[in-house]
Amino acid sequence: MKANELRIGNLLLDRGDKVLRLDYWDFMKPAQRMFIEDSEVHPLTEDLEYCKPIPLTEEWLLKFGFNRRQIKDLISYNTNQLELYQHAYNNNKIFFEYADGEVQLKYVHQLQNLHFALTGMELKCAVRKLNK
Amino acid sequence: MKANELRIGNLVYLVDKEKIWEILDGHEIDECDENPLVQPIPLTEEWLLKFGFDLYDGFSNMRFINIVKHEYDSSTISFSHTEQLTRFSNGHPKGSTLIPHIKYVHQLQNLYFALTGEELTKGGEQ
Repeated sequence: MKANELRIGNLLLDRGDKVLRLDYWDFMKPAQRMFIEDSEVHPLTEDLEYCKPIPLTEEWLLKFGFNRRQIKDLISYNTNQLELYQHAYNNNKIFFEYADGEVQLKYVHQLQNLHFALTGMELKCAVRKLNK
Repeated sequence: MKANELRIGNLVYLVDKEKIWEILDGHEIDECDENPLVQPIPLTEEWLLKFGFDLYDGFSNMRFINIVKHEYDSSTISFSHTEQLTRFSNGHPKGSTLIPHIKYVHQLQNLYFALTGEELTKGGEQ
């Protein structure tokens, strides 16, 4: 992953495929704050070269509170502020469409950043534990 | 400014050094968090021109920029300095979307990157 894609709050995968939330940068490493019984302990960090983006799936969209609607081969996912489309004829890729343009959202952090850029608000994830 | 607004490549203003600064690494993002010496740069027409956008006049003191630079595209960001009003026309049947939070250069940089996957740089170079 490239560092310039990332913003604090983004969700990534570490080398063990565990979800890592970028709480701050430990110099060049994404770091997640960790707590045990409300006391902050040593953070989780990962070298950027081992970080991987999380593929954006329907499961993630539902976690973020998007509502799913299907009309034949077209699925739309929407919140009050953002609407995304998934077309069967387009290999079920997920798109945000705007007038003559569209942007394919392949990864969770891309969706998080588009939402923040367009609305000024963070997408909230409806799960408490990011890893099962 | 809060650190979660920022990405590497964003431009900010360093108050004590009186200069524009490009954030180069994650550590600098941490340093910017709630730091009174780091301020956002107000988005002005001058900045839009530096980024290489084509400006054209609209109605009611609004100015428009094309999201995709130098190509025909009806997706626009329009804004008015006087009304502090920014609007993103995304072709939605309900019309354009107000994006009143876009007031600063780094916010436009991040919106542009999120929509196009390309960095907005001074001089219109991508």
